[in-house]
Amino acid sequence: MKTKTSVASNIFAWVFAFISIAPFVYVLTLSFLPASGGITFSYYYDVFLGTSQYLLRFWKSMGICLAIVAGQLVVSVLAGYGFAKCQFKGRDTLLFVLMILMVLPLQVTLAPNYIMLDKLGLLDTYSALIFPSIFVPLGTFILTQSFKSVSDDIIDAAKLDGCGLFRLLTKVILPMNTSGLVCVTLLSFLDGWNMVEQPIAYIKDFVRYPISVALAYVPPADPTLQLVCCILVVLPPLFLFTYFNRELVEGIVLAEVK
Amino acid sequence: MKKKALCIFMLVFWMVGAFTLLSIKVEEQMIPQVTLASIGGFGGRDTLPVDCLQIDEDGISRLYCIYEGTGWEAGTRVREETGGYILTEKGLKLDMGWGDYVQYTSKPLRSGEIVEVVRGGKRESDYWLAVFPDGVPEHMEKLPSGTGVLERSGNALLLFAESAEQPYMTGRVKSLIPETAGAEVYSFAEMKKFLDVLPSMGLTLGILLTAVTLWVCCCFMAKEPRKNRVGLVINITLGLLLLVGLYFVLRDMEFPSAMLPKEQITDFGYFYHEYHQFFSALKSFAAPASSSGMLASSMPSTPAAQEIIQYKNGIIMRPFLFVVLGVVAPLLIRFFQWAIQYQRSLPKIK
Repeated sequence: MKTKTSVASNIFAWVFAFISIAPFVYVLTLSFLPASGGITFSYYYDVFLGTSQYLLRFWKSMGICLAIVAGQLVVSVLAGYGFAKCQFKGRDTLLFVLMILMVLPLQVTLAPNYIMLDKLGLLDTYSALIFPSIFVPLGTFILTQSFKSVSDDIIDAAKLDGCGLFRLLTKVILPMNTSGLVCVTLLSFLDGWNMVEQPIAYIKDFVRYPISVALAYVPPADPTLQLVCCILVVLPPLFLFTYFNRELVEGIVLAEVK
Repeated sequence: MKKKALCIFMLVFWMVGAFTLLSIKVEEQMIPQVTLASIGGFGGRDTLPVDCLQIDEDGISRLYCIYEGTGWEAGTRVREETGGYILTEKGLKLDMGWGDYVQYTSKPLRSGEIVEVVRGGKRESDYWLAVFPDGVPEHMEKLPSGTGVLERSGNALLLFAESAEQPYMTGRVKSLIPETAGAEVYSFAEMKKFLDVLPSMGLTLGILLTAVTLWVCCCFMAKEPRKNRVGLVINITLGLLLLVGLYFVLRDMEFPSAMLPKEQITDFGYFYHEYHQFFSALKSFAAPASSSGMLASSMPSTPAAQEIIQYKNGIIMRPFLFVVLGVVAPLLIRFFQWAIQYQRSLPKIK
């Protein structure tokens, strides 16, 4: 009975893995096959060598994402520590509000953000993409849950040894929560890398569009070109997932268990 | 898994970085330079010069107009004119259409391609080599003033131009000397520029090979990261320095537009064909060995032709040297790293 269940779950896992990976294999295969037939590398030439538009946009998007990740890590670490380990009035209410903000659809916050960015004079700049993404509450929520796992005794001991807040965070709390940090890094990077609505709403100039949006404007005359662009776009997430897959799973599990 | 992912993606991202630098250069270099002729508008002409018809490799004549693209296609671009036209005594008369049309181009055009419009231009003396696939025509009309035939062989003609309009465009030469219409015409100045670029091309290829070889070394060293920590750091630093080096090599690289292929800069067969055809045609001017002695070097009599052949001979091995160096240098570095490690691992006897 146990063997049958194991075989069935194996088959299910393989089928599920195939379904998950099939689109990527499909894109990879078709990127070498033009509509006119045969096998060609000319579209790879067009994207990687023929013009700098795609690669420059790739690095621009990378820059935006790295700024988002750095900003969100700072905000999430400080806010997460505050929610997890500091006692202040209204802490639980604030955390509850944060959770409500987290479940709000993006489209709801789009218009208020637009008005705020307009008032700040940040519309049509990269800052319009970076600043709102820094304050996405998911990172704070994950790190709050993650920091709660650190025993108060350890923190007290560190404080007794003369640790200030900065040293406490960098030498004690953060090294004990690498999975949570990696999880926030990964999720915020992916959030930034895949953003579509925000650039369309906040940016008018096509030159400033990140690659996720600009991809939709690739000349549709030849879909193979779009497929090669997809291969380019998938590289950073693929790296992050293959490199950090264990930490990602651990981080998410940790956030759920608490 | 982590090590493998890091190893593979380190090369992938290095390559994406290197190809970004390369693509900026390639994009800039592959832009054809064009001169324009206008039709219509206030006080404009009602016909276009016949030179506006661009004959492609299949012998089909095409007319290209200029337009401004948007989005991914931002910039000044060319589009093939699909409307009809008739050839009159005064020039090309369009059925409908007005605006700017391409008259001369430095290299064959593709519809939708971005172009650089050249207006005016200085004049410099130059030598032109016309290679006729069906042999040099017997009779030639009187050549325009400031031009003259220097040498002639069965299938090639060496011409001198006192003040040739720059940048060099084959169409201009063919318009000036109609007898060269069926020939492939090369400019000595452009060929010299091309020869100047060859070492940089070799160096670029050498840098890419160095990076790949260093990466292979890194992959082996990553099996024992603690033991090879210093070596890994050195190799990764070298990899980053190579990117900086690539930037500086590419910065000074200037391809002559007239020597570039129509579609892809990686069409090395095209480069070889142009190079081979040019120097074979030059050699055809040399006197036969029987008349100049068996040991005489087969050189044409014109000093300019001799000069460019000698220049080529002096430069041609450099790109190959750089490519070989690209593989050998990182292997040597790895060997020294290994030698130092081995030396340190030996027991110290006092």
